[in-house]
Amino acid sequence: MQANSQRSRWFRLNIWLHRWTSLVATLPFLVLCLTGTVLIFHEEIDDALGVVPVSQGTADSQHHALAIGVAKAQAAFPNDRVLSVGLDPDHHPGVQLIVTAPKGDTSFDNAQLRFADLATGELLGELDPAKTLTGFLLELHAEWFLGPIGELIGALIALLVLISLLSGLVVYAPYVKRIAFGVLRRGRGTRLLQLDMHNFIGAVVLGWALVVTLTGFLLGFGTVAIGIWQMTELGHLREFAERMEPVNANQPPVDVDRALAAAQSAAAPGWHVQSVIFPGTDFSTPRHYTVLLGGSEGLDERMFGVVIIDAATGEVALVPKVPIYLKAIAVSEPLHFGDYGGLSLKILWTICTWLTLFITANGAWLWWDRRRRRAPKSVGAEA
Amino acid sequence: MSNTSAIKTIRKGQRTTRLVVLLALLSAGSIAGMLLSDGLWDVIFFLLATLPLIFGAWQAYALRTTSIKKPARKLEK
Repeated sequence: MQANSQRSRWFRLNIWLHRWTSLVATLPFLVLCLTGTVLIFHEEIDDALGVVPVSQGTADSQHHALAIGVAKAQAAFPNDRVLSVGLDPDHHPGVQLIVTAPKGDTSFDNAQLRFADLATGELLGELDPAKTLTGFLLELHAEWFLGPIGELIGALIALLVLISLLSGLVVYAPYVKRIAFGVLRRGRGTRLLQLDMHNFIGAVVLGWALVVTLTGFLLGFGTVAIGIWQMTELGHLREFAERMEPVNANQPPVDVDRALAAAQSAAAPGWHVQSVIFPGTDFSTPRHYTVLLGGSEGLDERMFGVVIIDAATGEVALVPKVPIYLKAIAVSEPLHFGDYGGLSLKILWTICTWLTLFITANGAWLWWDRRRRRAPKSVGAEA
Repeated sequence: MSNTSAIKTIRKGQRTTRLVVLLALLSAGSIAGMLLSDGLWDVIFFLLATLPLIFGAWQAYALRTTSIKKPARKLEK
Protein backbone atom coordinates (compact mmCIF):
# COMPACT_ATOMS: atom_id res chain seq x y z
CA MET A 1 0.00 0.00 0.00
CA GLN A 2 2.78 2.35 1.04
CA ALA A 3 4.80 1.29 -2.01
CA ASN A 4 1.82 2.12 -4.24
CA SER A 5 1.48 5.52 -2.65
CA GLN A 6 5.20 6.22 -3.17
CA ARG A 7 4.98 5.08 -6.80
CA SER A 8 1.99 7.34 -7.31
CA ARG A 9 3.82 10.30 -5.76
CA TRP A 10 6.87 9.58 -7.92
CA PHE A 11 4.66 9.41 -11.02
CA ARG A 12 2.87 12.67 -10.15
CA LEU A 13 6.21 14.39 -9.54
CA ASN A 14 7.40 13.29 -12.98
CA ILE A 15 4.16 14.39 -14.64
CA TRP A 16 4.63 17.80 -13.02
CA LEU A 17 8.30 17.98 -14.03
CA HIS A 18 7.56 16.86 -17.58
CA ARG A 19 4.76 19.38 -17.99
CA TRP A 20 6.46 22.44 -16.57
CA THR A 21 10.03 21.93 -17.74
CA SER A 22 8.67 21.34 -21.25
CA LEU A 23 6.35 24.34 -21.16
CA VAL A 24 9.03 26.71 -19.86
CA ALA A 25 11.45 25.49 -22.51
CA THR A 26 8.93 25.35 -25.38
CA LEU A 27 9.51 28.71 -27.06
CA PRO A 28 13.31 28.85 -26.70
CA PHE A 29 13.51 25.20 -27.70
CA LEU A 30 11.50 25.87 -30.86
CA VAL A 31 13.98 28.63 -31.74
CA LEU A 32 16.87 26.22 -31.04
CA CYS A 33 15.34 23.53 -33.28
CA LEU A 34 14.74 25.96 -36.15
CA THR A 35 18.18 27.60 -35.98
CA GLY A 36 19.78 24.21 -35.34
CA THR A 37 18.29 22.81 -38.54
CA VAL A 38 19.96 25.55 -40.56
CA LEU A 39 23.24 25.23 -38.65
CA ILE A 40 23.49 21.52 -39.44
CA PHE A 41 24.15 22.62 -43.02
CA HIS A 42 26.31 25.65 -42.17
CA GLU A 43 29.21 24.48 -44.34
CA GLU A 44 27.02 23.98 -47.40
CA ILE A 45 25.22 27.30 -46.84
CA ASP A 46 28.47 29.24 -46.41
CA ASP A 47 29.86 27.64 -49.56
CA ALA A 48 26.71 28.41 -51.55
CA LEU A 49 26.63 32.02 -50.37
CA GLY A 50 30.36 32.37 -51.05
CA VAL A 51 30.99 34.15 -47.77
CA VAL A 52 34.34 32.47 -47.14
CA PRO A 53 37.21 33.50 -49.42
CA VAL A 54 38.92 30.58 -51.17
CA SER A 55 42.43 30.09 -52.47
CA GLN A 56 42.93 30.39 -56.22
CA GLY A 57 45.88 27.99 -56.08
CA THR A 58 45.67 24.22 -56.11
CA ALA A 59 45.88 22.13 -52.97
CA ASP A 60 49.38 21.07 -54.05
CA SER A 61 50.67 24.63 -54.37
CA GLN A 62 53.79 25.17 -52.34
CA HIS A 63 53.15 27.00 -49.11
CA HIS A 64 54.95 30.22 -48.41
CA ALA A 65 56.04 31.06 -44.92
CA LEU A 66 53.11 31.96 -42.68
CA ALA A 67 55.10 35.01 -41.60
CA ILE A 68 54.63 36.49 -45.10
CA GLY A 69 50.84 36.45 -44.68
CA VAL A 70 51.26 37.95 -41.21
CA ALA A 71 53.53 40.70 -42.54
CA LYS A 72 51.09 41.51 -45.34
CA ALA A 73 48.19 41.70 -42.88
CA GLN A 74 50.22 44.01 -40.62
CA ALA A 75 51.15 46.21 -43.59
CA ALA A 76 47.54 46.37 -44.83
CA PHE A 77 46.11 47.09 -41.38
CA PRO A 78 48.73 49.09 -39.48
CA ASN A 79 46.34 49.88 -36.62
CA ASP A 80 45.74 46.19 -35.96
CA ARG A 81 47.77 43.48 -34.30
CA VAL A 82 47.78 39.78 -35.11
CA LEU A 83 46.21 37.61 -32.40
CA SER A 84 46.57 34.24 -34.06
CA VAL A 85 47.31 32.37 -37.25
CA GLY A 86 45.43 29.23 -38.19
CA LEU A 87 45.45 26.41 -40.70
CA ASP A 88 42.32 24.44 -41.57
CA PRO A 89 43.06 22.34 -44.67
CA ASP A 90 39.72 20.48 -44.45
CA HIS A 91 37.49 23.54 -44.55
CA HIS A 92 39.83 26.17 -45.98
CA PRO A 93 42.36 24.39 -48.22
CA GLY A 94 45.29 26.52 -49.32
CA VAL A 95 44.26 29.35 -47.03
CA GLN A 96 45.90 30.86 -43.98
CA LEU A 97 43.53 32.23 -41.33
CA ILE A 98 44.77 35.38 -39.64
CA VAL A 99 42.90 36.79 -36.66
CA THR A 100 43.55 40.46 -35.97
CA ALA A 101 42.30 42.99 -33.43
CA PRO A 102 42.90 46.69 -32.78
CA LYS A 103 46.43 47.30 -31.41
CA GLY A 104 46.53 46.90 -27.65
CA ASP A 105 43.67 44.40 -27.55
CA THR A 106 44.44 41.10 -25.88
CA SER A 107 41.00 39.50 -26.17
CA PHE A 108 39.30 37.97 -29.20
CA ASP A 109 36.07 39.91 -28.55
CA ASN A 110 36.68 42.46 -31.30
CA ALA A 111 38.67 40.10 -33.49
CA GLN A 112 38.53 40.15 -37.27
CA LEU A 113 39.12 36.99 -39.27
CA ARG A 114 41.18 37.54 -42.41
CA PHE A 115 42.33 35.10 -45.05
CA ALA A 116 45.64 34.91 -46.91
CA ASP A 117 46.63 32.63 -49.76
CA LEU A 118 49.11 30.04 -48.50
CA ALA A 119 50.77 29.86 -51.92
CA THR A 120 51.40 33.59 -52.33
CA GLY A 121 50.79 35.17 -48.92
CA GLU A 122 48.38 37.61 -50.59
CA LEU A 123 45.36 38.67 -48.53
CA LEU A 124 42.17 37.16 -49.94
CA GLY A 125 39.56 38.92 -47.86
CA GLU A 126 37.97 38.93 -44.46
CA LEU A 127 34.96 37.55 -42.69
CA ASP A 128 32.85 38.93 -39.91
CA PRO A 129 30.95 35.82 -38.76
CA ALA A 130 28.25 37.96 -37.15
CA LYS A 131 27.40 39.40 -40.58
CA THR A 132 26.83 36.02 -42.26
CA LEU A 133 23.53 34.14 -42.10
CA THR A 134 25.03 31.14 -40.31
CA GLY A 135 27.10 33.36 -38.01
CA PHE A 136 23.98 35.32 -37.05
CA LEU A 137 22.03 32.11 -36.40
CA LEU A 138 24.90 30.58 -34.42
CA GLU A 139 25.03 33.65 -32.19
CA LEU A 140 21.30 33.28 -31.61
CA HIS A 141 21.49 29.49 -31.12
CA ALA A 142 24.54 29.44 -28.84
CA GLU A 143 24.37 32.77 -27.03
CA TRP A 144 20.95 34.37 -27.53
CA PHE A 145 22.95 37.49 -28.51
CA LEU A 146 23.93 37.80 -24.83
CA GLY A 147 27.52 36.53 -24.88
CA PRO A 148 28.65 34.18 -22.10
CA ILE A 149 25.46 34.84 -20.08
CA GLY A 150 23.46 33.68 -23.12
CA GLU A 151 25.55 30.48 -23.20
CA LEU A 152 24.54 29.77 -19.61
CA ILE A 153 20.91 30.45 -20.50
CA GLY A 154 21.35 27.88 -23.29
CA ALA A 155 22.71 25.41 -20.71
CA LEU A 156 19.66 26.05 -18.52
CA ILE A 157 17.31 25.38 -21.45
CA ALA A 158 19.24 22.17 -22.19
CA LEU A 159 18.89 21.14 -18.53
CA LEU A 160 15.12 21.74 -18.65
CA VAL A 161 14.85 19.65 -21.81
CA LEU A 162 16.98 16.91 -20.25
CA ILE A 163 14.67 16.80 -17.20
CA SER A 164 11.69 16.80 -19.56
CA LEU A 165 13.09 13.80 -21.47
CA LEU A 166 13.87 11.76 -18.37
CA SER A 167 10.58 12.57 -16.62
CA GLY A 168 8.81 11.88 -19.92
CA LEU A 169 10.27 8.37 -19.85
CA VAL A 170 8.88 7.78 -16.36
CA VAL A 171 5.48 9.06 -17.48
CA TYR A 172 5.69 6.91 -20.62
CA ALA A 173 6.08 3.63 -18.68
CA PRO A 174 2.44 3.33 -17.44
CA TYR A 175 1.13 4.63 -20.79
CA VAL A 176 2.62 1.67 -22.73
CA LYS A 177 0.93 -0.80 -20.40
CA ARG A 178 -2.21 -0.09 -22.41
CA ILE A 179 -1.00 1.30 -25.71
CA ALA A 180 1.38 -0.86 -27.72
CA PHE A 181 4.53 0.83 -29.02
CA GLY A 182 3.75 2.25 -32.45
CA VAL A 183 -0.06 2.35 -32.14
CA LEU A 184 -1.55 5.64 -33.30
CA ARG A 185 -5.27 5.80 -32.49
CA ARG A 186 -6.79 7.25 -35.63
CA GLY A 187 -10.47 8.15 -35.80
CA ARG A 188 -10.72 8.48 -32.02
CA GLY A 189 -10.36 12.23 -31.82
CA THR A 190 -7.50 14.65 -32.37
CA ARG A 191 -6.35 14.58 -28.77
CA LEU A 192 -5.74 10.82 -28.59
CA LEU A 193 -3.94 10.81 -31.94
CA GLN A 194 -1.74 13.74 -30.88
CA LEU A 195 -1.00 12.06 -27.54
CA ASP A 196 -0.01 8.82 -29.27
CA MET A 197 2.18 10.70 -31.72
CA HIS A 198 3.80 12.65 -28.87
CA ASN A 199 4.66 9.47 -26.98
CA PHE A 200 5.66 7.45 -30.02
CA ILE A 201 7.90 10.10 -31.59
CA GLY A 202 9.36 10.94 -28.19
CA ALA A 203 10.31 7.27 -27.78
CA VAL A 204 12.02 6.97 -31.18
CA VAL A 205 14.08 10.18 -30.89
CA LEU A 206 14.92 9.70 -27.20
CA GLY A 207 18.52 8.50 -27.76
CA TRP A 208 19.36 11.28 -30.21
CA ALA A 209 17.66 13.90 -28.03
CA LEU A 210 19.62 12.79 -24.96
CA VAL A 211 22.92 13.15 -26.84
CA VAL A 212 22.08 16.57 -28.30
CA THR A 213 20.68 17.90 -25.03
CA LEU A 214 23.53 16.67 -22.87
CA THR A 215 26.13 18.07 -25.27
CA GLY A 216 24.16 21.33 -25.51
CA PHE A 217 24.28 21.57 -21.73
CA LEU A 218 28.07 21.06 -21.73
CA LEU A 219 28.60 23.56 -24.56
CA GLY A 220 26.75 26.14 -22.50
CA PHE A 221 29.71 26.04 -20.11
CA GLY A 222 32.30 26.50 -22.89
CA THR A 223 33.30 30.05 -21.97
CA VAL A 224 33.24 29.26 -18.25
CA ALA A 225 35.51 26.23 -18.80
CA ILE A 226 37.98 28.24 -20.88
CA GLY A 227 37.94 30.91 -18.16
CA ILE A 228 38.78 28.29 -15.55
CA TRP A 229 41.63 27.02 -17.73
CA GLN A 230 42.93 30.57 -18.17
CA MET A 231 42.86 31.14 -14.40
CA THR A 232 44.37 27.81 -13.41
CA GLU A 233 46.75 26.14 -15.89
CA LEU A 234 47.49 29.24 -17.96
CA GLY A 235 47.48 31.36 -14.79
CA HIS A 236 50.36 29.33 -13.33
CA LEU A 237 52.32 29.74 -16.56
CA ARG A 238 51.61 33.49 -16.58
CA GLU A 239 52.97 33.79 -13.02
CA PHE A 240 56.12 31.99 -14.17
CA ALA A 241 56.34 34.15 -17.33
CA GLU A 242 56.07 37.36 -15.31
CA ARG A 243 59.60 36.73 -14.07
CA MET A 244 60.79 36.66 -17.69
CA GLU A 245 61.40 39.46 -20.16
CA PRO A 246 58.24 39.97 -22.29
CA VAL A 247 58.56 40.04 -26.06
CA ASN A 248 57.14 42.51 -28.56
CA ALA A 249 53.77 40.92 -29.25
CA ASN A 250 53.58 42.54 -32.71
CA GLN A 251 57.03 41.38 -33.80
CA PRO A 252 58.15 38.47 -31.59
CA PRO A 253 61.86 37.58 -31.97
CA VAL A 254 60.85 34.06 -32.98
CA ASP A 255 58.51 34.26 -35.95
CA VAL A 256 55.31 32.24 -36.36
CA ASP A 257 56.93 29.67 -38.66
CA ARG A 258 59.64 28.79 -36.12
CA ALA A 259 57.02 28.57 -33.38
CA LEU A 260 54.96 26.27 -35.57
CA ALA A 261 57.95 24.06 -36.36
CA ALA A 262 58.93 23.82 -32.68
CA ALA A 263 55.38 22.88 -31.69
CA GLN A 264 55.16 20.31 -34.47
CA SER A 265 58.37 18.70 -33.24
CA ALA A 266 56.81 18.29 -29.79
CA ALA A 267 53.52 16.93 -31.16
CA ALA A 268 52.57 13.29 -30.93
CA PRO A 269 52.48 11.34 -34.21
CA GLY A 270 49.36 12.14 -36.23
CA TRP A 271 48.86 15.51 -34.55
CA HIS A 272 49.34 18.77 -36.45
CA VAL A 273 49.30 22.48 -35.75
CA GLN A 274 45.90 24.13 -36.13
CA SER A 275 46.47 27.50 -34.60
CA VAL A 276 49.32 29.63 -33.30
CA ILE A 277 48.25 32.26 -30.76
CA PHE A 278 50.66 35.17 -30.50
CA PRO A 279 52.20 36.30 -27.20
CA GLY A 280 50.29 38.91 -25.20
CA THR A 281 46.72 37.64 -25.61
CA ASP A 282 44.14 36.25 -23.19
CA PHE A 283 45.23 32.76 -24.25
CA SER A 284 48.99 33.20 -24.04
CA THR A 285 51.58 34.87 -21.82
CA PRO A 286 53.48 38.10 -22.68
CA ARG A 287 56.46 35.86 -23.43
CA HIS A 288 55.03 32.73 -25.04
CA TYR A 289 53.14 31.55 -28.08
CA THR A 290 50.27 29.14 -27.34
CA VAL A 291 50.06 26.58 -30.13
CA LEU A 292 46.92 24.47 -30.53
CA LEU A 293 47.25 21.03 -32.09
CA GLY A 294 44.61 18.77 -33.58
CA GLY A 295 44.59 15.03 -34.22
CA SER A 296 44.02 13.55 -37.64
CA GLU A 297 41.61 10.68 -37.12
CA GLY A 298 38.89 9.26 -34.90
CA LEU A 299 38.33 11.01 -31.60
CA ASP A 300 41.70 12.81 -31.88
CA GLU A 301 40.30 14.75 -34.85
CA ARG A 302 37.91 16.44 -32.42
CA MET A 303 40.39 16.89 -29.58
CA PHE A 304 43.06 19.50 -29.20
CA GLY A 305 46.46 19.63 -27.61
CA VAL A 306 48.47 22.60 -26.37
CA VAL A 307 52.16 23.40 -26.73
CA ILE A 308 53.69 26.54 -25.19
CA ILE A 309 56.60 27.99 -27.16
CA ASP A 310 59.05 30.55 -25.81
CA ALA A 311 58.78 33.46 -28.27
CA ALA A 312 62.29 34.68 -27.39
CA THR A 313 64.21 31.42 -27.83
CA GLY A 314 61.91 29.24 -29.96
CA GLU A 315 62.12 26.41 -27.43
CA VAL A 316 59.23 24.31 -26.25
CA ALA A 317 58.49 25.71 -22.78
CA LEU A 318 55.67 23.39 -21.78
CA VAL A 319 53.29 20.76 -23.13
CA PRO A 320 50.37 21.07 -20.69
CA LYS A 321 47.74 18.37 -20.45
CA VAL A 322 44.31 19.44 -21.62
CA PRO A 323 41.94 19.16 -18.65
CA ILE A 324 39.11 16.64 -18.89
CA TYR A 325 36.38 19.33 -18.77
CA LEU A 326 37.81 21.02 -21.87
CA LYS A 327 38.04 17.64 -23.62
CA ALA A 328 34.38 16.97 -22.79
CA ILE A 329 33.37 20.32 -24.28
CA ALA A 330 35.53 19.74 -27.38
CA VAL A 331 33.83 16.38 -28.00
CA SER A 332 30.41 17.88 -27.35
CA GLU A 333 30.52 20.18 -30.36
CA PRO A 334 30.41 17.57 -33.15
CA LEU A 335 27.98 15.42 -31.16
CA HIS A 336 25.70 18.43 -30.82
CA PHE A 337 25.81 19.66 -34.41
CA GLY A 338 26.14 16.26 -36.14
CA ASP A 339 28.69 17.57 -38.61
CA TYR A 340 31.16 14.70 -38.43
CA GLY A 341 29.56 11.97 -40.52
CA GLY A 342 28.82 13.48 -43.91
CA LEU A 343 25.47 14.20 -45.51
CA SER A 344 23.75 11.03 -44.25
CA LEU A 345 24.35 12.02 -40.63
CA LYS A 346 23.21 15.58 -41.35
CA ILE A 347 19.97 14.21 -42.79
CA LEU A 348 19.47 12.02 -39.69
CA TRP A 349 20.08 15.11 -37.52
CA THR A 350 17.55 17.11 -39.56
CA ILE A 351 14.86 14.40 -39.31
CA CYS A 352 15.38 14.05 -35.56
CA THR A 353 15.38 17.84 -35.09
CA TRP A 354 12.08 18.19 -36.96
CA LEU A 355 10.51 15.30 -35.05
CA THR A 356 11.63 16.92 -31.79
CA LEU A 357 10.28 20.25 -33.03
CA PHE A 358 6.96 18.53 -33.68
CA ILE A 359 6.65 16.89 -30.26
CA THR A 360 7.63 20.13 -28.54
CA ALA A 361 4.84 21.99 -30.30
CA ASN A 362 2.29 19.22 -29.98
CA GLY A 363 3.15 18.74 -26.29
CA ALA A 364 2.32 22.39 -25.71
CA TRP A 365 -0.89 21.92 -27.70
CA LEU A 366 -1.85 18.87 -25.57
CA TRP A 367 -1.42 20.93 -22.40
CA TRP A 368 -3.42 23.86 -23.83
CA ASP A 369 -6.17 21.54 -25.11
CA ARG A 370 -6.45 19.88 -21.69
CA ARG A 371 -6.79 23.27 -20.00
CA ARG A 372 -9.33 24.38 -22.58
CA ARG A 373 -11.45 21.26 -22.01
CA ARG A 374 -11.32 21.59 -18.26
CA ALA A 375 -11.96 25.32 -18.15
CA PRO A 376 -15.80 25.35 -18.31
CA LYS A 377 -16.05 22.65 -15.60
CA SER A 378 -13.99 24.48 -13.04
CA VAL A 379 -14.08 28.20 -13.75
CA GLY A 380 -11.46 30.01 -11.75
CA ALA A 381 -9.77 26.82 -10.63
CA GLU A 382 -6.16 26.04 -11.43
CA ALA A 383 -5.79 23.38 -14.14
CA MET B 1 -9.61 -6.71 -14.98
CA SER B 2 -8.47 -10.03 -13.47
CA ASN B 3 -5.17 -10.32 -11.61
CA THR B 4 -3.63 -12.38 -14.40
CA SER B 5 -4.47 -9.91 -17.13
CA ALA B 6 -3.35 -7.01 -14.94
CA ILE B 7 0.03 -8.69 -14.46
CA LYS B 8 0.27 -9.34 -18.20
CA THR B 9 -0.50 -5.70 -18.93
CA ILE B 10 2.14 -4.50 -16.46
CA ARG B 11 4.74 -6.90 -17.90
CA LYS B 12 3.91 -5.75 -21.42
CA GLY B 13 4.41 -2.15 -20.33
CA GLN B 14 7.70 -2.97 -18.65
CA ARG B 15 8.90 -4.82 -21.75
CA THR B 16 8.04 -1.90 -24.02
CA THR B 17 9.69 0.63 -21.71
CA ARG B 18 12.81 -1.54 -21.57
CA LEU B 19 12.79 -1.77 -25.36
CA VAL B 20 12.50 2.01 -25.73
CA VAL B 21 15.33 2.57 -23.25
CA LEU B 22 17.48 -0.06 -24.96
CA LEU B 23 16.90 1.49 -28.40
CA ALA B 24 17.67 4.96 -27.01
CA LEU B 25 20.92 3.79 -25.41
CA LEU B 26 21.90 1.90 -28.55
CA SER B 27 21.21 4.97 -30.68
CA ALA B 28 23.09 7.33 -28.32
CA GLY B 29 26.03 4.92 -28.08
CA SER B 30 26.17 4.55 -31.85
CA ILE B 31 26.13 8.32 -32.37
CA ALA B 32 29.19 8.49 -30.10
CA GLY B 33 30.67 5.41 -31.78
CA MET B 34 30.57 7.10 -35.17
CA LEU B 35 32.80 9.83 -33.79
CA LEU B 36 35.39 7.28 -32.66
CA SER B 37 35.46 5.03 -35.68
CA ASP B 38 36.05 5.07 -39.42
CA GLY B 39 35.28 2.81 -42.35
CA LEU B 40 32.87 -0.10 -41.98
CA TRP B 41 32.25 0.56 -38.29
CA ASP B 42 31.07 4.03 -39.24
CA VAL B 43 28.37 2.50 -41.45
CA ILE B 44 27.39 -0.05 -38.79
CA PHE B 45 27.13 2.62 -36.11
CA PHE B 46 25.09 4.83 -38.43
CA LEU B 47 22.59 2.04 -39.03
CA LEU B 48 22.37 1.37 -35.29
CA ALA B 49 21.86 5.09 -34.65
CA THR B 50 18.88 5.09 -37.03
CA LEU B 51 17.48 1.84 -35.61
CA PRO B 52 14.86 3.47 -33.30
CA LEU B 53 13.50 5.45 -36.27
CA ILE B 54 13.45 2.45 -38.59
CA PHE B 55 11.98 0.11 -35.95
CA GLY B 56 9.42 2.74 -34.94
CA ALA B 57 8.36 3.38 -38.54
CA TRP B 58 8.04 -0.37 -39.17
CA GLN B 59 6.08 -0.89 -35.96
CA ALA B 60 3.74 2.04 -36.70
CA TYR B 61 3.15 0.68 -40.20
CA ALA B 62 2.51 -2.87 -38.96
CA LEU B 63 0.13 -1.75 -36.20
CA ARG B 64 -1.69 0.61 -38.51
CA THR B 65 -3.11 -2.32 -40.46
CA THR B 66 -3.81 -4.24 -37.23
CA SER B 67 -5.75 -1.39 -35.68
CA ILE B 68 -8.00 -1.13 -38.75
CA LYS B 69 -9.08 -4.71 -38.19
CA LYS B 70 -9.40 -4.28 -34.44
CA PRO B 71 -10.20 -0.77 -33.30
CA ALA B 72 -10.03 -2.52 -29.96
CA ARG B 73 -11.42 -1.23 -26.69
CA LYS B 74 -8.20 -2.50 -25.14
CA LEU B 75 -6.29 0.32 -26.79
CA GLU B 76 -8.40 3.02 -25.27
CA LYS B 77 -6.57 5.10 -22.75
